[in-house]
Amino acid sequence: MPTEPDTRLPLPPVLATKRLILRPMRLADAPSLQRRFNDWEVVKHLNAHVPWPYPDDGVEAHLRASLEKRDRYGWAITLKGADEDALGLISIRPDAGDESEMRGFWLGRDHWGRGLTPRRPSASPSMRSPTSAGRTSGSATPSRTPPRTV
Amino acid sequence: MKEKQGARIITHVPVKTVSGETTKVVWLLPREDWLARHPDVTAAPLARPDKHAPFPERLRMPATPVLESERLVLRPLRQGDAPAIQRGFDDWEVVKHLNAKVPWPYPADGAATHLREALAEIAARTKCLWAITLKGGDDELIGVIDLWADDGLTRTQRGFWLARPYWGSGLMTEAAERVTEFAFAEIGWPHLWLSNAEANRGSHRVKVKQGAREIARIPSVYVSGPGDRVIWLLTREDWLARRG
Repeated sequence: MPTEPDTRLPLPPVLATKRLILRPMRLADAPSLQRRFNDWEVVKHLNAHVPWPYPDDGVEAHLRASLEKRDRYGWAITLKGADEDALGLISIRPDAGDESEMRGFWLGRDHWGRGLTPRRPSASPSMRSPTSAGRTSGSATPSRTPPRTV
Repeated sequence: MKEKQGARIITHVPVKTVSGETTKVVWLLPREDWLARHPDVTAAPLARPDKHAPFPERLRMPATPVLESERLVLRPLRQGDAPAIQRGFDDWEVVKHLNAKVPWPYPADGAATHLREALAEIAARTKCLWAITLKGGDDELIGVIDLWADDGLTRTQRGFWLARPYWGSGLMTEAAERVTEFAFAEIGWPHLWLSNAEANRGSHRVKVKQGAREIARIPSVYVSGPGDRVIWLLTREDWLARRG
């Protein structure tokens, strides 16, 4: 059998925006991310692979697996001047040629509505549509796109 | 957020979320659209697959099967096809809109060289390559169509040519439709990336007839010189809906 080449991605660079520092996510982010991710409003539109009720070690397990696998660039979303406190995650990965997302993100509810990810300010929470979380937890978006029918 | 970024809705598919079953909206944000909205950004050249890396197993194709349509039999290319390829392909009208890698004037051993590579690709299952032949005919090749998996970067998965005596009768579209059915209904791919030289109206029409969506135009170089390459996406849902 041919063996697959090592396709692990390098660590992502630190990216700065007007208000944010996106820095590589790390295991030490687990406590602040766990607190923010264990929230029905954050989780309810994510792919059903995300367990609910959310386990106490959910984020830590996710971070551990992601940092080992390195099949995507994963950043912790932090505020400039406070880059120890991970408010959420955003990740991108190469196109696998299938329908899985190339980008996922989530942000703790304490920072919603400020255009940080950014999102449309006018939509009500009930108008949010589903997006899938990709294959792992904590890597998808609570988007406010109105639902559409086929 | 996707609307803010100018992404396009490509399709809708069922998904299970934490709170239940619903519909996932699939968006595409083409690099060209995004760059057009950010003229201040200096962009690196388009990324290309690493030619020296081992062929990724996830892109491995099935063995090239025999496919039939109303008027055609598509069969795997084979050793004896070189003379028919040379006859049909050594034609400026056939070749002028193809990638500039095709040599012109076409060398006398052009078909033999091309066929050797094509047979290696069939054997390695990096591509499916079919001879287009007429049903009830003498099994002679009148054109070629091929298909390969989406590598996530090159945005093209199919190529074809048809000898000039057979133009204008919808045979190329018929072959493309059968290969598309193979991709969507038999392999199960979610989409096909397609492309053609903007000046190649025949190839362009096949995409329009198949219901592909135009995604971008980028500069390229063809046998006849520089020209725009039109990039299309044909989704499985669009194609199935059109076919009924």
